Amino acid sequence: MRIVFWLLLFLCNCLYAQTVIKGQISETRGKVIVSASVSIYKKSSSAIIAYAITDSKGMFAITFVSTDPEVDLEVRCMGYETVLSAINNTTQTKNFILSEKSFVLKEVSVKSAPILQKGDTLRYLVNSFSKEQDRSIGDVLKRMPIKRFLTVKFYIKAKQSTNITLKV
Amino acid sequence: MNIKSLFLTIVFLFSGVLIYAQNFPKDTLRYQITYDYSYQVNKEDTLSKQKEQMVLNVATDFSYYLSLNLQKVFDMANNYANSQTIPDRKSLPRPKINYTVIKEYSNNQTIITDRFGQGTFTYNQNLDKFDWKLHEEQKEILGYSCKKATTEFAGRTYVAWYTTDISISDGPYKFHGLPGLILSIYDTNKHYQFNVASIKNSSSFCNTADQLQKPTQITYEEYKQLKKRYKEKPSTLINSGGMTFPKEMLDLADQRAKEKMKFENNPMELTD
Repeated sequence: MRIVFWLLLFLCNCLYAQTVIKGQISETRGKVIVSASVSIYKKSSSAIIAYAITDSKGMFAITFVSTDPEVDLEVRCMGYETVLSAINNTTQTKNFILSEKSFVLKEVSVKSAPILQKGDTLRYLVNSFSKEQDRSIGDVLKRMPIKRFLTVKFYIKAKQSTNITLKV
Repeated sequence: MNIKSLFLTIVFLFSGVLIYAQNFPKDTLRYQITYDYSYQVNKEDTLSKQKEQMVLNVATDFSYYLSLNLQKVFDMANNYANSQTIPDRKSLPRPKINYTVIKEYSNNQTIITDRFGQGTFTYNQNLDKFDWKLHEEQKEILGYSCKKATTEFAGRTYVAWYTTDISISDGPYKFHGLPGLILSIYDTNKHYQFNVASIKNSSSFCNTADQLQKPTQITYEEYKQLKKRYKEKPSTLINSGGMTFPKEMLDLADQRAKEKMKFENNPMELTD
Protein backbone atom coordinates (compact mmCIF):
# COMPACT_ATOMS: atom_id res chain seq x y z
CA MET A 1 0.00 0.00 0.00
CA ARG A 2 2.75 2.37 0.99
CA ILE A 3 4.64 1.66 -2.19
CA VAL A 4 1.56 2.45 -4.25
CA PHE A 5 1.25 5.76 -2.41
CA TRP A 6 4.83 6.76 -3.12
CA LEU A 7 4.50 5.60 -6.69
CA LEU A 8 1.42 7.78 -7.11
CA LEU A 9 3.20 10.72 -5.55
CA PHE A 10 6.14 10.16 -7.89
CA LEU A 11 3.79 10.01 -10.86
CA CYS A 12 2.08 13.21 -9.85
CA ASN A 13 5.46 14.87 -9.59
CA CYS A 14 6.40 13.69 -13.05
CA LEU A 15 3.14 14.84 -14.55
CA TYR A 16 3.33 18.36 -13.20
CA ALA A 17 7.13 18.59 -13.25
CA GLN A 18 6.94 20.83 -10.26
CA THR A 19 10.23 22.19 -9.02
CA VAL A 20 10.73 23.21 -5.42
CA ILE A 21 13.71 25.32 -4.43
CA LYS A 22 14.20 25.66 -0.70
CA GLY A 23 16.84 27.36 1.33
CA GLN A 24 17.94 29.92 3.83
CA ILE A 25 19.41 33.39 3.33
CA SER A 26 21.88 34.73 5.83
CA GLU A 27 24.54 37.42 6.04
CA THR A 28 28.29 36.90 6.34
CA ARG A 29 28.16 37.05 10.14
CA GLY A 30 25.57 34.27 10.25
CA LYS A 31 22.47 36.31 11.06
CA VAL A 32 19.48 35.29 8.96
CA ILE A 33 18.02 37.83 6.54
CA VAL A 34 14.30 38.41 6.89
CA SER A 35 12.12 39.63 4.02
CA ALA A 36 14.67 39.16 1.26
CA SER A 37 13.14 38.33 -2.10
CA VAL A 38 14.15 35.21 -4.02
CA SER A 39 12.92 35.23 -7.61
CA ILE A 40 13.04 32.64 -10.36
CA TYR A 41 13.41 34.18 -13.81
CA LYS A 42 13.05 32.58 -17.19
CA LYS A 43 16.64 32.21 -18.37
CA SER A 44 18.08 35.58 -19.47
CA SER A 45 14.79 37.43 -19.35
CA SER A 46 13.04 39.77 -16.98
CA ALA A 47 9.90 37.64 -16.62
CA ILE A 48 9.51 36.36 -13.09
CA ILE A 49 8.19 32.79 -13.03
CA ALA A 50 7.82 32.57 -9.27
CA TYR A 51 9.24 34.15 -6.16
CA ALA A 52 9.27 33.93 -2.39
CA ILE A 53 10.01 36.29 0.46
CA THR A 54 12.13 34.92 3.31
CA ASP A 55 10.24 34.45 6.58
CA SER A 56 11.31 35.43 10.09
CA LYS A 57 13.85 32.57 10.08
CA GLY A 58 15.33 33.58 6.74
CA MET A 59 13.78 30.53 5.04
CA PHE A 60 12.17 30.42 1.63
CA ALA A 61 10.47 27.82 -0.55
CA ILE A 62 9.53 28.42 -4.17
CA THR A 63 7.35 26.05 -6.11
CA PHE A 64 7.10 26.52 -9.85
CA VAL A 65 6.45 24.75 -13.10
CA SER A 66 8.79 25.29 -16.01
CA THR A 67 9.86 23.16 -18.95
CA ASP A 68 13.24 24.90 -19.29
CA PRO A 69 16.29 22.88 -18.21
CA GLU A 70 17.81 25.91 -16.49
CA VAL A 71 16.41 28.99 -14.76
CA ASP A 72 17.91 32.10 -13.19
CA LEU A 73 17.64 32.58 -9.45
CA GLU A 74 18.04 36.03 -8.01
CA VAL A 75 18.32 36.98 -4.33
CA ARG A 76 17.70 40.61 -3.53
CA CYS A 77 17.58 42.50 -0.27
CA MET A 78 18.14 46.17 0.46
CA GLY A 79 21.57 46.72 1.97
CA TYR A 80 23.07 43.53 0.52
CA GLU A 81 24.79 42.52 -2.67
CA THR A 82 22.36 41.04 -5.19
CA VAL A 83 23.11 37.41 -6.06
CA LEU A 84 22.22 36.03 -9.47
CA SER A 85 22.90 32.40 -10.31
CA ALA A 86 21.82 30.00 -13.01
CA ILE A 87 20.45 26.80 -11.53
CA ASN A 88 19.18 23.52 -12.89
CA ASN A 89 15.43 23.15 -12.99
CA THR A 90 15.36 20.43 -10.36
CA THR A 91 14.07 20.30 -6.82
CA GLN A 92 16.94 21.26 -4.56
CA THR A 93 18.08 23.12 -1.47
CA LYS A 94 20.06 26.29 -2.03
CA ASN A 95 21.42 28.45 0.76
CA PHE A 96 22.86 31.88 0.14
CA ILE A 97 25.13 34.13 2.13
CA LEU A 98 24.86 37.80 1.20
CA SER A 99 27.56 40.37 1.81
CA GLU A 100 26.58 43.80 3.00
CA LYS A 101 26.56 46.68 0.59
CA SER A 102 25.32 50.15 1.35
CA PHE A 103 22.55 51.17 -0.96
CA VAL A 104 21.38 54.66 -1.66
CA LEU A 105 18.06 55.04 -3.39
CA LYS A 106 17.56 57.26 -6.37
CA GLU A 107 15.47 59.98 -4.75
CA VAL A 108 12.43 61.12 -6.66
CA SER A 109 9.25 63.06 -6.06
CA VAL A 110 6.18 63.94 -8.05
CA LYS A 111 5.85 67.52 -9.29
CA SER A 112 2.49 68.91 -8.27
CA ALA A 113 0.12 69.17 -11.19
CA PRO A 114 -0.28 72.76 -12.43
CA ILE A 115 -4.07 72.42 -12.53
CA LEU A 116 -6.01 70.38 -10.01
CA GLN A 117 -9.69 69.67 -10.11
CA LYS A 118 -11.44 69.24 -6.82
CA GLY A 119 -15.17 68.82 -7.13
CA ASP A 120 -16.40 71.79 -9.18
CA THR A 121 -13.36 73.91 -8.36
CA LEU A 122 -10.21 74.20 -10.45
CA ARG A 123 -7.05 75.06 -8.58
CA TYR A 124 -4.17 76.58 -10.48
CA LEU A 125 -0.63 76.43 -9.21
CA VAL A 126 0.41 79.95 -10.18
CA ASN A 127 4.13 79.19 -9.78
CA SER A 128 4.11 76.78 -12.67
CA PHE A 129 2.78 79.46 -15.04
CA SER A 130 5.08 82.30 -14.03
CA LYS A 131 8.24 83.23 -15.88
CA GLU A 132 11.33 85.29 -15.08
CA GLN A 133 10.28 88.32 -17.09
CA ASP A 134 6.82 88.67 -15.50
CA ARG A 135 6.29 92.10 -13.97
CA SER A 136 2.71 91.78 -12.81
CA ILE A 137 0.34 88.97 -11.94
CA GLY A 138 -1.63 89.93 -15.06
CA ASP A 139 1.24 88.60 -17.18
CA VAL A 140 0.93 85.27 -15.42
CA LEU A 141 -2.85 85.17 -15.69
CA LYS A 142 -2.63 85.67 -19.44
CA ARG A 143 -0.62 82.50 -19.68
CA MET A 144 -3.03 80.44 -17.58
CA PRO A 145 -5.64 78.50 -19.53
CA ILE A 146 -8.58 80.36 -17.99
CA LYS A 147 -11.31 81.32 -20.38
CA ARG A 148 -13.35 83.53 -18.12
CA PHE A 149 -13.46 84.16 -14.44
CA LEU A 150 -15.68 86.15 -12.15
CA THR A 151 -13.52 86.41 -9.11
CA VAL A 152 -9.94 85.48 -8.59
CA LYS A 153 -8.65 84.86 -5.13
CA PHE A 154 -4.96 85.05 -4.51
CA TYR A 155 -3.23 83.07 -1.86
CA ILE A 156 0.29 84.32 -1.60
CA LYS A 157 2.74 83.23 1.02
CA ALA A 158 4.40 86.18 2.74
CA LYS A 159 7.89 85.37 1.52
CA GLN A 160 6.83 85.06 -2.09
CA SER A 161 4.72 88.17 -2.25
CA THR A 162 7.65 90.57 -1.83
CA ASN A 163 8.36 91.03 -5.52
CA ILE A 164 4.92 90.54 -6.99
CA THR A 165 2.97 93.48 -8.31
CA LEU A 166 -0.78 93.04 -8.18
CA LYS A 167 -2.58 94.75 -11.04
CA VAL A 168 -5.81 93.09 -12.07
CA MET B 1 2.64 43.20 54.47
CA ASN B 2 5.25 40.51 54.75
CA ILE B 3 8.06 39.89 52.34
CA LYS B 4 6.33 36.98 50.65
CA SER B 5 3.17 38.83 49.77
CA LEU B 6 5.25 41.83 48.65
CA PHE B 7 7.19 39.55 46.37
CA LEU B 8 3.97 38.05 45.02
CA THR B 9 2.53 41.50 44.42
CA ILE B 10 5.62 42.52 42.47
CA VAL B 11 5.52 39.34 40.43
CA PHE B 12 1.83 39.87 39.81
CA LEU B 13 2.34 43.47 38.73
CA PHE B 14 5.15 42.59 36.35
CA SER B 15 3.30 39.66 34.87
CA GLY B 16 0.64 42.13 33.86
CA VAL B 17 3.27 44.26 32.17
CA LEU B 18 4.65 41.23 30.40
CA ILE B 19 1.27 40.21 29.09
CA TYR B 20 -0.15 43.57 28.11
CA ALA B 21 2.80 45.72 27.13
CA GLN B 22 2.78 46.12 23.38
CA ASN B 23 6.27 46.06 21.98
CA PHE B 24 6.49 49.03 19.70
CA PRO B 25 9.64 48.76 17.62
CA LYS B 26 12.03 51.68 17.21
CA ASP B 27 15.08 52.09 15.03
CA THR B 28 16.93 54.40 12.69
CA LEU B 29 15.10 54.65 9.40
CA ARG B 30 16.57 53.79 6.03
CA TYR B 31 13.97 55.00 3.58
CA GLN B 32 10.91 57.17 3.58
CA ILE B 33 8.28 56.72 0.89
CA THR B 34 5.23 58.96 0.61
CA TYR B 35 2.03 58.03 -1.17
CA ASP B 36 -0.94 60.06 -2.34
CA TYR B 37 -3.86 58.17 -0.93
CA SER B 38 -7.32 58.73 -2.34
CA TYR B 39 -10.43 56.99 -1.06
CA GLN B 40 -14.05 57.26 -1.98
CA VAL B 41 -16.28 57.06 1.09
CA ASN B 42 -19.58 56.72 -0.77
CA LYS B 43 -20.05 53.93 -3.31
CA GLU B 44 -21.93 56.01 -5.89
CA ASP B 45 -20.73 59.54 -5.26
CA THR B 46 -17.42 60.08 -7.05
CA LEU B 47 -17.24 63.54 -5.48
CA SER B 48 -16.93 61.93 -2.07
CA LYS B 49 -13.26 61.21 -2.79
CA GLN B 50 -10.96 62.16 0.06
CA LYS B 51 -7.22 62.68 -0.12
CA GLU B 52 -4.41 62.29 2.35
CA GLN B 53 -0.66 62.03 2.08
CA MET B 54 0.60 58.88 3.72
CA VAL B 55 4.16 57.95 4.60
CA LEU B 56 5.83 54.55 4.75
CA ASN B 57 8.84 54.66 7.06
CA VAL B 58 11.15 51.75 6.32
CA ALA B 59 13.64 50.50 8.94
CA THR B 60 15.68 47.29 8.78
CA ASP B 61 13.24 45.05 10.65
CA PHE B 62 9.94 46.87 10.42
CA SER B 63 7.97 49.46 8.51
CA TYR B 64 5.64 52.12 9.89
CA TYR B 65 2.79 53.46 7.80
CA LEU B 66 0.80 56.51 8.85
CA SER B 67 -0.64 59.80 7.66
CA LEU B 68 2.01 62.45 7.02
CA ASN B 69 -0.10 64.91 9.01
CA LEU B 70 -0.35 62.50 11.93
CA GLN B 71 3.43 62.12 11.85
CA LYS B 72 3.72 65.92 11.98
CA VAL B 73 1.40 65.99 15.00
CA PHE B 74 3.58 63.40 16.77
CA ASP B 75 6.71 65.39 15.94
CA MET B 76 5.12 68.55 17.34
CA ALA B 77 4.05 66.71 20.49
CA ASN B 78 7.64 65.52 20.92
CA ASN B 79 8.99 69.03 20.40
CA TYR B 80 6.53 70.32 22.94
CA ALA B 81 7.64 67.69 25.47
CA ASN B 82 11.27 68.70 24.95
CA SER B 83 11.08 72.46 24.67
CA GLN B 84 7.71 73.33 26.25
CA THR B 85 6.97 75.71 23.40
CA ILE B 86 3.31 75.53 22.55
CA PRO B 87 2.76 75.11 18.82
CA ASP B 88 0.57 77.57 17.01
CA ARG B 89 -2.94 76.14 16.90
CA LYS B 90 -3.44 77.22 13.32
CA SER B 91 -0.33 75.42 12.16
CA LEU B 92 -1.50 72.16 13.72
CA PRO B 93 -2.03 69.64 10.93
CA ARG B 94 -5.35 67.81 10.92
CA PRO B 95 -4.93 64.19 9.94
CA LYS B 96 -7.94 62.50 8.36
CA ILE B 97 -6.48 59.03 8.79
CA ASN B 98 -5.90 58.24 12.42
CA TYR B 99 -4.79 54.62 12.26
CA THR B 100 -1.19 53.51 11.92
CA VAL B 101 0.13 50.20 10.59
CA ILE B 102 3.37 48.62 11.78
CA LYS B 103 4.61 45.60 9.86
CA GLU B 104 7.22 43.70 11.86
CA TYR B 105 8.91 41.20 9.58
CA SER B 106 11.24 39.74 12.22
CA ASN B 107 8.32 38.25 14.16
CA ASN B 108 5.60 38.14 11.51
CA GLN B 109 3.35 40.68 13.24
CA THR B 110 1.14 43.56 12.20
CA ILE B 111 0.42 46.14 14.88
CA ILE B 112 -2.54 48.39 14.18
CA THR B 113 -3.13 51.44 16.37
CA ASP B 114 -6.25 53.53 15.95
CA ARG B 115 -7.55 56.64 17.70
CA PHE B 116 -11.27 57.31 17.96
CA GLY B 117 -13.71 58.55 20.58
CA GLN B 118 -11.47 59.49 23.45
CA GLY B 119 -9.21 56.52 23.30
CA THR B 120 -6.29 55.06 21.40
CA PHE B 121 -6.43 51.32 20.84
CA THR B 122 -3.90 48.87 19.56
CA TYR B 123 -4.05 45.24 18.49
CA ASN B 124 -1.75 42.63 16.98
CA GLN B 125 -2.33 40.27 14.15
CA ASN B 126 -0.21 37.96 12.08
CA LEU B 127 1.02 39.65 8.92
CA ASP B 128 -1.61 39.44 6.20
CA LYS B 129 -0.87 36.84 3.56
CA PHE B 130 -1.30 38.01 -0.01
CA ASP B 131 -1.63 35.67 -2.93
CA TRP B 132 -0.05 37.81 -5.62
CA LYS B 133 -0.36 36.96 -9.28
CA LEU B 134 2.50 38.31 -11.36
CA HIS B 135 1.84 39.72 -14.81
CA GLU B 136 4.08 40.53 -17.74
CA GLU B 137 2.95 44.14 -18.19
CA GLN B 138 5.41 46.86 -17.32
CA LYS B 139 5.30 50.62 -16.93
CA GLU B 140 7.49 53.37 -15.61
CA ILE B 141 6.62 55.28 -12.46
CA LEU B 142 8.87 58.16 -11.39
CA GLY B 143 11.72 56.74 -13.43
CA TYR B 144 11.49 53.28 -11.88
CA SER B 145 10.42 50.44 -14.14
CA CYS B 146 7.50 48.63 -12.56
CA LYS B 147 5.84 45.27 -13.07
CA LYS B 148 2.20 44.47 -12.58
CA ALA B 149 0.74 42.14 -9.97
CA THR B 150 -2.80 41.51 -8.81
CA THR B 151 -4.33 40.18 -5.63
CA GLU B 152 -7.57 39.83 -3.73
CA PHE B 153 -7.80 41.53 -0.37
CA ALA B 154 -10.80 41.90 1.92
CA GLY B 155 -13.38 41.67 -0.84
CA ARG B 156 -11.65 43.85 -3.42
CA THR B 157 -9.34 43.08 -6.32
CA TYR B 158 -6.19 45.17 -6.40
CA VAL B 159 -3.74 46.00 -9.15
CA ALA B 160 -0.24 46.78 -7.91
CA TRP B 161 2.82 48.13 -9.69
CA TYR B 162 6.07 47.19 -7.98
CA THR B 163 9.71 47.75 -8.82
CA THR B 164 12.40 45.12 -8.33
CA ASP B 165 14.95 47.98 -8.38
CA ILE B 166 13.93 48.71 -4.80
CA SER B 167 14.04 45.33 -3.11
CA ILE B 168 11.86 46.21 -0.17
CA SER B 169 9.02 43.74 0.00
CA ASP B 170 6.63 46.34 1.29
CA GLY B 171 3.95 48.81 0.32
CA PRO B 172 1.31 51.17 1.64
CA TYR B 173 -1.29 50.10 4.25
CA LYS B 174 -1.17 46.35 4.90
CA PHE B 175 0.12 45.50 1.43
CA HIS B 176 3.43 43.66 1.16
CA GLY B 177 4.96 40.45 -0.11
CA LEU B 178 6.02 41.31 -3.66
CA PRO B 179 9.63 40.97 -4.84
CA GLY B 180 9.99 44.76 -4.74
CA LEU B 181 8.47 47.95 -3.41
CA ILE B 182 4.87 48.76 -4.40
CA LEU B 183 4.83 52.20 -6.04
CA SER B 184 1.17 52.20 -7.02
CA ILE B 185 -1.80 50.11 -5.97
CA TYR B 186 -5.51 50.53 -6.55
CA ASP B 187 -8.64 48.44 -6.48
CA THR B 188 -10.32 47.68 -9.79
CA ASN B 189 -13.13 50.18 -9.03
CA LYS B 190 -10.48 52.84 -8.33
CA HIS B 191 -12.21 53.65 -5.06
CA TYR B 192 -9.02 53.13 -3.11
CA GLN B 193 -5.79 54.33 -4.69
CA PHE B 194 -2.24 54.72 -3.48
CA ASN B 195 0.29 56.41 -5.76
CA VAL B 196 3.88 57.09 -4.85
CA ALA B 197 4.64 60.79 -4.39
CA SER B 198 8.26 60.65 -3.26
CA ILE B 199 11.07 58.24 -2.44
CA LYS B 200 13.79 59.40 -0.07
CA ASN B 201 16.70 57.98 1.84
CA SER B 202 16.42 58.68 5.54
CA SER B 203 18.49 58.36 8.67
CA SER B 204 16.09 59.90 11.17
CA PHE B 205 15.07 58.00 14.26
CA CYS B 206 11.62 56.49 14.36
CA ASN B 207 9.87 55.40 17.54
CA THR B 208 6.59 53.72 16.70
CA ALA B 209 5.48 54.08 20.33
CA ASP B 210 4.98 57.83 19.81
CA GLN B 211 1.26 58.45 20.19
CA LEU B 212 -0.73 61.27 21.72
CA GLN B 213 -1.92 59.00 24.50
CA LYS B 214 -0.89 55.58 25.71
CA PRO B 215 -2.76 53.04 23.59
CA THR B 216 -4.94 50.43 25.23
CA GLN B 217 -4.04 46.91 24.16
CA ILE B 218 -7.09 45.01 22.94
CA THR B 219 -7.77 42.02 20.72
CA TYR B 220 -8.87 42.27 17.11
CA GLU B 221 -12.38 41.10 18.06
CA GLU B 222 -12.64 43.77 20.75
CA TYR B 223 -11.38 46.36 18.28
CA LYS B 224 -14.03 45.47 15.73
CA GLN B 225 -16.76 45.71 18.36
CA LEU B 226 -15.51 49.03 19.73
CA LYS B 227 -15.22 50.53 16.27
CA LYS B 228 -18.71 49.35 15.38
CA ARG B 229 -20.09 50.80 18.61
CA TYR B 230 -18.30 54.08 17.96
CA LYS B 231 -19.72 54.33 14.47
CA GLU B 232 -23.27 53.51 15.58
CA LYS B 233 -23.47 55.32 18.89
CA PRO B 234 -20.36 57.42 19.56
CA SER B 235 -21.89 58.88 22.74
CA THR B 236 -21.18 55.66 24.64
CA LEU B 237 -17.47 56.03 23.93
CA ILE B 238 -17.19 59.80 24.14
CA ASN B 239 -18.62 59.80 27.62
CA SER B 240 -16.33 57.08 28.91
CA GLY B 241 -13.22 59.21 28.97
CA GLY B 242 -13.70 60.71 32.43
CA MET B 243 -15.38 63.85 31.11
CA THR B 244 -19.15 64.16 30.92
CA PHE B 245 -20.99 66.05 28.20
CA PRO B 246 -24.56 67.38 28.17
CA LYS B 247 -27.13 64.99 26.76
CA GLU B 248 -28.11 67.22 23.82
CA MET B 249 -24.52 67.23 22.63
CA LEU B 250 -24.32 63.46 22.78
CA ASP B 251 -27.63 63.06 20.98
CA LEU B 252 -26.38 65.39 18.27
CA ALA B 253 -23.18 63.37 17.97
CA ASP B 254 -25.21 60.16 17.62
CA GLN B 255 -27.48 61.76 15.04
CA ARG B 256 -24.51 62.94 12.98
CA ALA B 257 -22.86 59.55 13.28
CA LYS B 258 -25.98 57.90 11.95
CA GLU B 259 -26.02 60.18 8.90
CA LYS B 260 -22.30 59.76 8.40
CA MET B 261 -22.58 55.99 8.56
CA LYS B 262 -25.37 56.03 6.01
CA PHE B 263 -23.26 58.10 3.61
CA GLU B 264 -19.93 56.37 4.19
CA ASN B 265 -21.03 53.04 2.79
CA ASN B 266 -17.79 52.13 1.05
CA PRO B 267 -15.20 50.83 3.53
CA MET B 268 -11.88 49.63 2.18
CA GLU B 269 -12.16 46.21 3.78
CA LEU B 270 -15.47 44.65 2.83
CA THR B 271 -14.80 41.36 4.61
CA ASP B 272 -12.58 40.19 7.45
